Amino acid sequence: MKTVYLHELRQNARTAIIWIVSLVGGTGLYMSLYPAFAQHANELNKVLQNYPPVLRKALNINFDAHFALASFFALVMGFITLAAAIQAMNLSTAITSKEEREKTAEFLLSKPLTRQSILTGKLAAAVTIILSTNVVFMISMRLLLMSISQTSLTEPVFLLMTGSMLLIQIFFLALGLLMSVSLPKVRSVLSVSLVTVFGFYIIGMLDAVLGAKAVRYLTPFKFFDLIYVYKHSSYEWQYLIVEAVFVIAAGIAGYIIYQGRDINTI
Amino acid sequence: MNIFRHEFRAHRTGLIWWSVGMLFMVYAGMAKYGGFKSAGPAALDIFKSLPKSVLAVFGIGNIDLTTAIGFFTVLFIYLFVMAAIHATLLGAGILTEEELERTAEFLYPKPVSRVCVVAEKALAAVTSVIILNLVAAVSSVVFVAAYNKGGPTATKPILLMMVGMLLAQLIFLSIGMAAAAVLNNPKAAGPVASAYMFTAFFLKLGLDITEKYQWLRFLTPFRYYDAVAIVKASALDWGYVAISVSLIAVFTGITFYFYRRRDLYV
Repeated sequence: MKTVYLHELRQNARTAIIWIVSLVGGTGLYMSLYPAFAQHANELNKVLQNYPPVLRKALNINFDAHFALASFFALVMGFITLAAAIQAMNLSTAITSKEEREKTAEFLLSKPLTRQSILTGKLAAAVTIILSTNVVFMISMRLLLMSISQTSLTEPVFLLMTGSMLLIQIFFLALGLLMSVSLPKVRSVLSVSLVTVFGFYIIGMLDAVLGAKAVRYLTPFKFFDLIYVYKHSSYEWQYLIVEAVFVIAAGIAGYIIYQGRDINTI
Repeated sequence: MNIFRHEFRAHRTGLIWWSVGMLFMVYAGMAKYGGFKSAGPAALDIFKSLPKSVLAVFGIGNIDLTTAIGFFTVLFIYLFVMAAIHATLLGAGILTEEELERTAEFLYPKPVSRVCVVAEKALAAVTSVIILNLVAAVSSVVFVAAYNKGGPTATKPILLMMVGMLLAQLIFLSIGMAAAAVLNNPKAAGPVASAYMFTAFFLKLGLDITEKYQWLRFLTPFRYYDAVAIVKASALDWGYVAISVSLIAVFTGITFYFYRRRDLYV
């Protein structure tokens, strides 16, 4: 199991580093637009003072400096979690399917290891990569936010906001695992993961058809309302439960299905 | 034409699903407009005076969202991304699949030149791309017209957007194929081409929330055919059409040049 784990880590290291650099770099570029936004927000705040209180309340906007930072960061996190979801989904969709596609399944499965321990080793490697991505991301974001803005988010709000990325990645990790072990044949990991992630992203837009409440339960991109997080310093627990149930169920199902999977060796 | 027929048939099921997704997306998006319109435009007047970056936080651009075509401009970018993903994956996949699935040794000894193989594969891919574009165009015209009661007809700007989208689809298709032809490792083509496609998409999102760095827009086909600009001008920007056509020509040239000399991975 440890050998599998280390092998997987080594295999994925280069891609993981590229992902981490692009995620951090991309967010950095977006956040570099923040100072201009803060200035606009400040002017807007002055304009809003002239509107009647009723209207201000109806619009539900109050651009004090903290809120300006939080809402801009929330916008950027919305972009970046989309990319992060693809990273997680790519990792886990490949997890067992790549052995079959690359005809190495026979080689791997004939080793004196149970299927469970192979899957555990691979999964542990994927989780390690996702966790390190998030740790690097959080640290660099903390430093970045400190350098571009005088105001800063409080520790718990910051951790919860950036933590939404981790939770979304874990969701897609579980989903990818489930697909990897249950799809009869994955011809291209990228096609599966891009279509799935974008599918979920787009579900977020379908509130008119599916109902606004239903949509929030259906797609992880809507589980974590970062403005709510900013205001209440907590997630909405009902979505956390949905996520936990899904991840646990997908994990258990993944092991059971892989245990009985007919491995494609031709 | 055997290769064309074979390729087209091989990708037919996928194309049908993409078309269904496209159709559903247009329907769901415009259904949202139906609900949105009845919410009342009173608050929207305020938004007209706000700066770009602040509007982006609310997810609205510089156009009247209460008209059907104004709302469609928001929807358009999602259709655009779907079409771009399809074209990129198809372009990279159609050339690399023979090597990845070990059928290259079967196909290339046939008495047809490589140029002929690439040409027929490209033709099949272009046909798929055009069909997906037609599905998007027809469903957009129909659904926008259905919700556009009393307003001026929106068919012309929609068709212009779709022409722009087709050109961008062909750019992404040719980039995918060029990546497959140039890169030695057939597994790398899909990831490289879609990494470019996503960078272009995130660049477009970034350029939407700032007035700075506008020269970067040449790097992202998503920005060549900006829905709001097309609606306002009621015409395509010929400069971008020229850029698109030259990019398609250049990448197609690269594809043929390099694929002829390619050392196939068997």
